[in-house]
Amino acid sequence: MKLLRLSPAVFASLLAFGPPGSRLASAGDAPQWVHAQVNAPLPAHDDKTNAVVLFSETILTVQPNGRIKKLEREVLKILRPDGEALGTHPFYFDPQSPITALHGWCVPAVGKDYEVREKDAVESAVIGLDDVSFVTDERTKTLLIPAATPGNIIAYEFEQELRPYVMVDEWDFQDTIPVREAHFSLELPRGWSYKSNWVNYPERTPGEAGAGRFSWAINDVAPVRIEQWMPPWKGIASRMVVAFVPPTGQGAGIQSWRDLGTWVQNLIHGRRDPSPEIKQKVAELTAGVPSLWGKMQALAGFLQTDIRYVAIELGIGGHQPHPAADVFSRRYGDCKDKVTLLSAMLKEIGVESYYVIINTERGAVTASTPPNLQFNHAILAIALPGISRRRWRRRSSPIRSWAACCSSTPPMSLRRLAGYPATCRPTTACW
Amino acid sequence: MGQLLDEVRRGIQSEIPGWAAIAGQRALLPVGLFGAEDKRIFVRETRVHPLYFRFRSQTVDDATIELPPNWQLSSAPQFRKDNRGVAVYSMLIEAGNGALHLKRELTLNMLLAKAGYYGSLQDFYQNVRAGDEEQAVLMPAKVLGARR
Repeated sequence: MKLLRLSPAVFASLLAFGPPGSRLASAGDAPQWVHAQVNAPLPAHDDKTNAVVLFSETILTVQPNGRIKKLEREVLKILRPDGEALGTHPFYFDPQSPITALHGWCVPAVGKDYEVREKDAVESAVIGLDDVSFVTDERTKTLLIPAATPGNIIAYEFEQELRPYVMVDEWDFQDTIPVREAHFSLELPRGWSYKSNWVNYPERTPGEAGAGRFSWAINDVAPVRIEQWMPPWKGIASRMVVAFVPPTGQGAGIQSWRDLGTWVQNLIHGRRDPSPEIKQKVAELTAGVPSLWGKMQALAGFLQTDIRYVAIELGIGGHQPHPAADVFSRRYGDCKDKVTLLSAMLKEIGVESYYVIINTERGAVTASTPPNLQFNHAILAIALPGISRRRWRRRSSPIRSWAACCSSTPPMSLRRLAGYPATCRPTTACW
Repeated sequence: MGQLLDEVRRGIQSEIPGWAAIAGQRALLPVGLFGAEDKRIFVRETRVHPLYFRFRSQTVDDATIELPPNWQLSSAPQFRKDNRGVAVYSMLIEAGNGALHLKRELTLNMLLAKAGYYGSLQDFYQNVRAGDEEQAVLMPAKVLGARR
């Protein structure tokens, strides 16, 4: 499953491309929105703060065809030498979200402005991602903004065209450094509406700047302090999740968790069909094993030891598993591939199982967030023999099933799962 | 897996510079040989966020150290155990047959706790560090025999 991206500040602390000051930089005046921040007061900060965000802005323009133009701007002031890493900034993209424009500037305390452009960026596979993917089509363009030294101001602007599977986006306005001003603007086509959900922050009502145009502004956002053994970033940091709703009658896409479950169900449709080779292997593995539980363990053991964890996620392959027959014949796959094959094998011994997508980061998906694809793992909910599905569903908080975690880490653990047979539920319901 | 472990058991040879400190005719060995990663945990005075562990964990270090010929254990820390329910630490040091046996166990049986529990966990880890920093004292057998 596709994983979450690091915030730029976290990324910068991990990645050191060398000393600031790019040979590729050229003289070029920074735009007015950057210069407007040169004498701006700094947000509240302590003497250990490496840098501050003076201004950030996100403008989302939803087009009638469902594509989204996203413009992001940020202006930072470097305060300490450790803040120089922020001059190295990654911009993520993939075929569903190509970058259409990219600029970076430095406004030094003394001297002329510097400018770097998209052609100066270093393109690479994603670096520093907490990921296990062998091959993905996710990439980064990394800008080295010159002279990101204490006292200087750096800024960037980038545009993307998003073609999301689910009409949802996020405004992540909190960082590991103080933010003085954060703005978010939304422009919708005629007849469209939106639903917003605030996570770890009180709800704000937007200002309306005309038909279909909404804007939010937040000042003085305190930084998230990084601590040992703290909850995952998504469970701590403030953000707004916004879903876009087309007019009635137009293809509404995924608007509810049920819709998302149906979408996932369609993706996996037919993928769990067993091939003759799978049937033969199941018979071989379970021959002579007297109990159903023992047979289940034998199949799970095969998945752990004979199917190597290799994630190849290209395009929709980040969400759609390979057919069970392919996973079996190639002897490799990622989490969703493994559970697809296991599900097919379990069915051969009469055990029903359900595909469940989850996010292993506590708080990343909550019961109140709009349906989205912030999932990073797939597991299998297995109906234990002798327990009817009806009974399973009716209990309010039953522990009646098991989720088999068939990822890369043997020995396989069988975890208790709050009994949801649905194909997709908010993460908190799954763990 | 068993074969891999056998290879690991056979294959690792390493030196630990400065582990034993010589003081006169004695050698002092901190018993927390594998506790390095716990030395800097929860040393900040204040806590903002809840405590979150991705999974429950238990670490067991069971090491037998062959002593140099003619060296013996002179004194060793008492068995130490700190059981806080969700966090348990124990350290056992034994000697015999020319060897020193260290067994250290650290169990964290929790996933999420409010920041208010930070002080308790901080206190627990201070005890862990104190236990790890205790020293076994070795002496040459002839010196030890003469003293006895």
